[in-house]
Amino acid sequence: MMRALGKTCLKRISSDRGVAFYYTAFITFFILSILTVIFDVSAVSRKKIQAQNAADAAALEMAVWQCRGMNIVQNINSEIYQTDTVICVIYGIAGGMTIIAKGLEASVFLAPIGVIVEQAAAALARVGYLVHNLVVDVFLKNLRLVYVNGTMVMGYIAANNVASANGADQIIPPIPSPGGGGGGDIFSKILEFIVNAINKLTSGFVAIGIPTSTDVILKIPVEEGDAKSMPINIKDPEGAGGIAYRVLITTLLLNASLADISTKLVYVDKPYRSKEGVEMKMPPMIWGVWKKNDVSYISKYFLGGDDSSYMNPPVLAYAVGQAQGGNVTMTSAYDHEFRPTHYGVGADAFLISVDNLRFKEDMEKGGIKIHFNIREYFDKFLLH
Amino acid sequence: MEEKKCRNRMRSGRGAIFLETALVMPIYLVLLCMCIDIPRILMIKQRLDGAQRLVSEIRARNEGTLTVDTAFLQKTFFDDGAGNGVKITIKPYNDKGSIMNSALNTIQDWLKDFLGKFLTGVLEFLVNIISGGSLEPYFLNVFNKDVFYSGEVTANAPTLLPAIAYNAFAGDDLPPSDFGTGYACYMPSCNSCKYTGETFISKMCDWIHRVFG
Repeated sequence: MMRALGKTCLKRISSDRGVAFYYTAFITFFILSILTVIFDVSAVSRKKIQAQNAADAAALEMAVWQCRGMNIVQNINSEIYQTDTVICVIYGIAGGMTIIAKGLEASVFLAPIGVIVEQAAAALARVGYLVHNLVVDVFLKNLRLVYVNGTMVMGYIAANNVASANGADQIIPPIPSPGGGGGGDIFSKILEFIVNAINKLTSGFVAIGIPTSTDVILKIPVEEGDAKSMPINIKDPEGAGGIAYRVLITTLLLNASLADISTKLVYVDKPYRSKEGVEMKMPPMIWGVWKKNDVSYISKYFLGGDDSSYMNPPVLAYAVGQAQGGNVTMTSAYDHEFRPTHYGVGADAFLISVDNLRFKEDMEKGGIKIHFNIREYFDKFLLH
Repeated sequence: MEEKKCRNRMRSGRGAIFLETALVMPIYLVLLCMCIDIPRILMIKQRLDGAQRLVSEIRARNEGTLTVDTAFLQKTFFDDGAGNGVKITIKPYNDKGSIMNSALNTIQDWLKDFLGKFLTGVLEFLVNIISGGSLEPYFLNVFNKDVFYSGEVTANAPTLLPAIAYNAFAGDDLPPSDFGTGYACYMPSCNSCKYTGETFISKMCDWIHRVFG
């Protein structure tokens, strides 16, 4: 029996019959392997494209928010100026009415009319004061403060948001839930709550933004009070407009009914302004994202050998975004249609090349000099 | 007699190569077709990635309006031998608001549920009046305009094998011969940062300037 089986096997091996099937199996395996590698390489390069889109979108969104913050601050300054100018006109009318009222009060017969006119002037000035308080002090100034201090935070959140929409992977993976919900003791319930809260907070954390200057870490670099601000003549309080304003207020203060708010009628606003006269360039921000990568075993063998450190290299991408422009003194008819020309030219968001970055590579404090070779890090980690 | 002849034929080696070749030839042909189709599909998908990016970026710079048509994209990305016969389609837009935009909408929806549509409208109107018209341009519109514009493009490409063989490469909910990238590209609304409204007083000043110069 065994001898017969051996004989058959020998006969099969020495025969040419069926050899095409062996070849076919080998060639099919080889071609499918090559196709798998092609597929994996393409998948990796497509992931790189997607990661690049995510990084670009994040950098652009942050720059958009910086522009938005600067433009809104600039607009609100303009709004405050316009509102206060109108209120000053109201004060002027009230001041004029007060002078007339004082003249009328000097005469014996027209004194009662004078009193009525003076009260009407006081009422008009109070309306102006109320509008200033509500619109300027309560709304516009606080909104401006929100944008000055909140723009960077909102930009960070929105940039992570858009990177996530473009498929960037989480930087901080979710912590596994301790479970045991329902019948667990109070300690495990608190632990579960904390873990869930942390996961919720970090679940959208997919992009890291690094400012190239410390100026923009917490707030947009618009400075408070770099122009002494007054209605009528916002840029030059000592000029003719400023003097006229003071004279106006002085006449208004003759009105006895306004004694309780006399000190509050003069307002000198300290505006936050983007730089005047010079085109503004915000410090750029670098944004990095990553995507998980998982290639097949065959590709791992072809692409990375059997070295375990080459398994699943993540796909990294970075982009640099910058807010450029923004000039309060310059107007342009070609600016955006949404933007009235008297607001000045608004800032625009751009993606810029990494070559445009100027790194501060040396830092010295207390006699200690530290050298950062940032470009080297770029080459090592990001340009691979 | 015939039976014996047939048995002899089967035992003989003559014609075996012809028979075996005939049997394995379909496999080789399928492999050959796959070798042509798969890299081409992958190439198409890579070009679609580029087209998607372009669509979303153009829309992002034009408040959501796509200023080019499919013919332009076709010419830009598939006007060569490899792109022969490829027909692209721009999928319906699926724009997303940022998380702040959604939060604001959620609050507004909650208010509408709680107070009713009419009262919410009245409340917004009153706050806008009290704030001198600054609520809408400097708060609500700022967040409402923070939108991510989408761009998603699919391609219909002729393949050597029936297209259904490559279903694994096609995106979801697509006809078998259409290939998608499986994701949409999103770009932020770039011009929205220049958006501004005006308060009532500013509008009035504008009107005075227009009328009196």
